[in-house]
Amino acid sequence: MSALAEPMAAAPPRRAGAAWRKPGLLVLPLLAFLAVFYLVPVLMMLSRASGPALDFAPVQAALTSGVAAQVFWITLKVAVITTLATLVLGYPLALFTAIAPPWLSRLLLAAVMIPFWSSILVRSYAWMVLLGRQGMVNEALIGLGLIETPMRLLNTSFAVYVGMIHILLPFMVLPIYATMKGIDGRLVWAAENLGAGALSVLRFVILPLSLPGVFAGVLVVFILCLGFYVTPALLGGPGDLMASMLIAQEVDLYNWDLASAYAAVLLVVTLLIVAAFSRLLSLDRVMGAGR
Amino acid sequence: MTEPTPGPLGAPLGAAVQFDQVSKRYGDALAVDRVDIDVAAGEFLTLLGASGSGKTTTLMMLAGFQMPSSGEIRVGGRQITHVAPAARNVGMVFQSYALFPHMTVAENIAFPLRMRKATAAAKGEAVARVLSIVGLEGLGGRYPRQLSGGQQQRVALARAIVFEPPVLLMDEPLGALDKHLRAHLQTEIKRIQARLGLTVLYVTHDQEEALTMSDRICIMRDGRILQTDSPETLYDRPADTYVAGFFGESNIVAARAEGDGRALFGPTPVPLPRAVRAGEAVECAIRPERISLAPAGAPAFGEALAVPATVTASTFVGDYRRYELALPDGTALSVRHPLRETQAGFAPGEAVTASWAPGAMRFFVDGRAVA
Repeated sequence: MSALAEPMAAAPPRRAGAAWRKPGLLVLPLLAFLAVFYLVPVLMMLSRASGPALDFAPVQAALTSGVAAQVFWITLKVAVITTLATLVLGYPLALFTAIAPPWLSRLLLAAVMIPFWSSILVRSYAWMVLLGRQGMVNEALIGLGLIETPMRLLNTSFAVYVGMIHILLPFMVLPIYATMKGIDGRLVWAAENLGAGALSVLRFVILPLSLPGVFAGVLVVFILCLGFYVTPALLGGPGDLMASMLIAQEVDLYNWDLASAYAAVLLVVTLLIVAAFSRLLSLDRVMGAGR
Repeated sequence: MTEPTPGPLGAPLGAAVQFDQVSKRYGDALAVDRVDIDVAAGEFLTLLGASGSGKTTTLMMLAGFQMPSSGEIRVGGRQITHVAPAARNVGMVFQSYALFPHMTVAENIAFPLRMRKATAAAKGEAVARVLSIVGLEGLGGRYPRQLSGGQQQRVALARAIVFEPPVLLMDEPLGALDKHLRAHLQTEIKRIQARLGLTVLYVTHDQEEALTMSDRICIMRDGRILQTDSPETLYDRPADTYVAGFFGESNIVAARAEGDGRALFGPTPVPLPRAVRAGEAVECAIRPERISLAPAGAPAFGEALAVPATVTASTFVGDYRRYELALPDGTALSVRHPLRETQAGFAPGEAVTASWAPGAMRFFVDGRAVA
C-alpha cells in the first residue's frame, strides 16, 4: 500500500532500449520469417482451394473424385500400419535402451540416431539398392537356396512399409526412451518391494508412466506418415499412391487449384486427427486430474 | 500403547532379523564391513550414522536391492540373502516416499494386495483399515501430488504395512519434512509400530530422532558398527569418543595417569578406572548436566569431587542456565544448571565450587572407553 503513496516522480524512468528486453519482441524475427515463408503460402493455397468465386469448386472437385478418395484411404491405412509397426518395434527397443548398461545404451542410441542424420532420399535409395531384383536381399535368399528366381520386392507396398518404418522409427524410439529415462528408479524398487515381479513392474509402473512418450511418438509418426512423399514415390508401386504424391502429380500438370484443394483437405484431415487424438489421449487421463 | 497388543491387523506381526557377518564391497571400497545385527521380534532398531557410514546400504541389502558380497541375512529364521526383493515380504518406506504418481492413494495402498491376488473386497477392507490407522480416512481417491508432504509420508507408511509384513524398513522417512511435522510423525510411527508389534529397522542421521524413537540404536561409521545399545546406555556409557560426541555434549580434559591411579583433571586429582595403566594418556569426560554448582567454600557431599572455579560467562537458555567456568589452571568447563526458585544464579567473576560424582565420569584411552 505504501507504494501508492509514493509521488509519481518515484516511478522508474523509461530507459532507451528497454523495449528490447521484452521477451515478446525476441520472437519477432521468427514470426516475420514464418509469416512470409509459411503463413502467406498457406493462405495462398487456401484461397486457390476456395476458387475464384469462393464457391469451393476445387475442393468439391477433389472430394468427388474417386481417385482422391482412394488415395486418402491408402494414405490413412499406410499411416496407421506404419505407426503401429514403429510402436511395436520401437517400444521394446526404447525399454531395452533405457535399462541397458551405459555403454550398451549409448551404442543403441547411436544406432538409432546415425541413420536419422542422413537424408531421407539417401535412405530411400539405399532401400532401392537392397530390395532390387539384383539387390542384396534377393541375392542372399537365392544364395541360401530359399528361392529360385528373384522376388519382386521393390515397387511394392512391402517396400513402402519397410522404408517408412525404418525412417520413422527414431521418431517413436526417442520420445519413449526420454520418458522412460525420466521415471524415478525408486518407483521400480518400491513396486518390487511391494511384491511385483518383472512383468508386473512393466505393466503397472513402466507402461503407464511411459504413456506420455508413447503418445508423443505416435502423434509425430502418424502426422509425418500422412505427408510422406519421397519414400513411397521411390519404393512404392502404382497402387501405393499417397496424398502427397497426388498433390505433386497435379502440380506437375499445373492444376494449381486442384493441387491446393487436395493439400487443403490433407491439412484439415491432419488437424482433425491431431485434435481428436490430443482430446482422447490427453495427459490428464494418464496422470489423473489436477496436473 | 507400548505393549504390542494384537491390533486390527491380527496378531503382533514382528519377526526377528539377523545380519551375520554381512559385507558389501564396491570395487575396492568396503561400504559395509562384517556387520552383525540381531533385531528381536517387535523391536525398533535404528541405524544411526553420518552419510557414507553404510547405514542405507545395510537397509538396502535387507530389502534386496543390494546383494551382500559376503555374509547372511535372516528374517524370522529364514535365509533371505539371495531371495528376490518381491518375494521378501518386507515393507519399506523410502525417503522420497516413492508413491506411484499415476495411482490414487487407495490404488497405491492396494498395490501390494493386488500383487498378492487379493479379492476386491479384501483389498477395499484392508485399504480402509490402514487409512484409518494412519489417519487419512476419506483421502483414498486423491492422487499423491494432491497431498501435503506429511500426508504422502502417511500413504507410504500405509502402503508398507497393508500387506502385514513382519519387518518394516524406513530410510530417513521424515527427512523431507519440517521440524514440527517430524515430531508429530515420530510419535505416530511409534504408536503404529507398538500397536502392530512390528519389527522396525529405521535409518536416520538425526540423533535426537534416534534417541526418542528407538528401543536400541546401532551406531555406524565407515561401514562398521561401533556400538549397539539402548539410548540410555549409549548416552551414559558410550564405547568411544565418536559415540560420545554423537549424543549431547561432554567436557573432555586430556590428562596423564599418575602412579597412584589418579589423573589431574585441571588441578584436581580424579580416581581412574583400574584398567588405565600409569603413564598412559587418558581423556576424562564429564557431561555438563552432571556438574553441580555451589558458592565457593561450600562443603562437598560424600564422595563428590569438588573443584574450585571462577564463572566466566552465564547464558539463560530457558529451562536451564549455561555457565562457562575456568578452573585455576585455565581449563574451561561447561555446566548446565537447572533453574530453581530457591537458588540464585552466579554472576561472571564469582568464585564457585563445581562438584560431581566420580561415577558420572567416563574415561577414554586411545578413543576407546575404559571402565
